[in-house]
Amino acid sequence: MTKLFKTIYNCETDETIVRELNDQELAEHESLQLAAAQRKAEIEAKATAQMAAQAKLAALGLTADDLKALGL
Amino acid sequence: MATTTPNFGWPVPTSSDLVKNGATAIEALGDGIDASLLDLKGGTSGQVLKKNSNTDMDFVWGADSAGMTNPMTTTGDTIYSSSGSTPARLGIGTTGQVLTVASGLPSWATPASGGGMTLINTGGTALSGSSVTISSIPSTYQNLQLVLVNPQPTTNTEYVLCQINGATSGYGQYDGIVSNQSFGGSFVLLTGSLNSSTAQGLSITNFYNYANTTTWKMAEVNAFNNDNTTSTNFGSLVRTGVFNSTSAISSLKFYCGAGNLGGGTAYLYGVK
Repeated sequence: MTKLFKTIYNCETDETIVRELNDQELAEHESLQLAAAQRKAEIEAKATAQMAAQAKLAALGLTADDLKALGL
Repeated sequence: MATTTPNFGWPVPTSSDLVKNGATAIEALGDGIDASLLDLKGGTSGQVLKKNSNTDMDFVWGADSAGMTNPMTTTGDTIYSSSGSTPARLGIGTTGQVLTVASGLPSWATPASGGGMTLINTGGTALSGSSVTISSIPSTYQNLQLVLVNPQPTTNTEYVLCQINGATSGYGQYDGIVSNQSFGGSFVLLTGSLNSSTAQGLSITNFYNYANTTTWKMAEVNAFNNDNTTSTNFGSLVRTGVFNSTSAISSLKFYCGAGNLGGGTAYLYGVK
């Protein structure tokens, strides 16, 4: 398994520490990335839906500005 | 034949006058001088002679108004009125100082710096590994500005994410007008979807009033990057993150949703 490293810069001491993640930090990192993956999927699904909606509008000869003009 | 002196017009004999007329001429001269200097006569001890009118030789004796003792001692000193009309010395300030007023008196003071930016993480911090944390951020600035130059993930299409003060929850992020939003997020997005092969991007995030302890915190993100598929095209992100903590921001952590940080540099500036 590839080792993971983290960088910590301390503004008070102007020191940079690069060290390997311990087991607890590895677990936390995996958890964070899992949450990020879920959020990323949501963002991308939203973007995909937005693009699909825009394509439908374009097929009807409309734009988002047209919908705004209608107060939608 | 008598003539007169050029300045006061006193009568004097000419060089061709007869000797017998000399006494008369000298008497006339004496009378003229006597009349002209009449105002100098008199006066008392301590009085000073002052002009009485614009007329020549019109003087009058008068009291000497009290003079001011010079309080200045050093080049650059100035005088100001202290305790009514008492003259006081204000010593010269130092280079760059400006004259100001403190407690009703003038003084020299160093002007407050404003608008300046100070790089807090000296030289910037490389974005690499599983995460990068900038810790022990001082609370002495008005705002923070985070600049990510050419951020890059090791995994294509990933974003650079940010957590504040080590918190793994309590985040929201919006664009435009929103209402009734929950803090369901676990990070603030700092970039759009990035290209792992090439990096041409900037992410600038302003953390306004980051040191206050009475409001939730905000992260105003404005970023662009080259597209993750067509690297000659671009993508962008303009969103505001909200973090539901009233604690001052003292640390910022950056990481990617998958893989590692693969390049770029983070610069954290303190803004006065």
